[in-house]
Amino acid sequence: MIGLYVFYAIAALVITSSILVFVQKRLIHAVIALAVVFFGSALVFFIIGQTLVALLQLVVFVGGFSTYLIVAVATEEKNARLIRFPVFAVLSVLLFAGIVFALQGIPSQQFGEGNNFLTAAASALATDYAMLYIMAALLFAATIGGVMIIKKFTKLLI
Amino acid sequence: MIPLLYLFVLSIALLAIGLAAIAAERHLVVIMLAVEIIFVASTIALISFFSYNAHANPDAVTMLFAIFAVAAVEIITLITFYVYMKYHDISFDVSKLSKFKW
Repeated sequence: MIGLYVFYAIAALVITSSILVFVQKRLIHAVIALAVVFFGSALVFFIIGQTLVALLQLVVFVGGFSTYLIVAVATEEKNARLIRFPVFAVLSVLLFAGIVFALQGIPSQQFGEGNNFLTAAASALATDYAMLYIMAALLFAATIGGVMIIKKFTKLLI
Repeated sequence: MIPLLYLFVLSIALLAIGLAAIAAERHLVVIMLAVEIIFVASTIALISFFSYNAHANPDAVTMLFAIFAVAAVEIITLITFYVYMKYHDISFDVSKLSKFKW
């Protein structure tokens, strides 16, 4: 029962931070709010028992991506707000309300014991090497492309 | 144990917030950050459906790493665009991206 209240608190943190991402005035604050979203989702994974995913989320997203984003964005001086159509945001609220309304008919039952990602990762990683190599090649190609573009058009890294 | 429905509603809420940010925002970086929020929503949905299923497929691990890889590529692309557009004084307004030529 206490876990449910903890989940409510974390869900409130995640939703508030994700709203703050596009309400903040400065870009660096938006990036920090996104880091809080990553951290809150790691807490959600920890609560439902998937410790491996929580650790991956913490190390990869919070530790890696958010640091890169903050370092990249922190050099910016001025930042104008560029809101175009705030009315369109109402449409996504309607989408959320519609899906939640459709979920009313589904009984809120709890399923079995649950799977742990640690055991599933051992069997899946041993059989799906090809897919992982494709993803690694994708990452590598994107990194090389980014470095080439920066090197071609700026004098930063030369 | 937390019901599956609550996790799913959290995921849908994050999806709706990300879509709202994409619809209402004009800044390129904020739009990419909103896509990251949608990636977080999809990860939460995947992990919650995986962990609440008694006979789940272990291939969900591959799907999770695919989501991580696409999110990583998106952040790399975002930082590249950011550095390029900032040092060439190109506006971050996505409605003016036609000036973003090679």
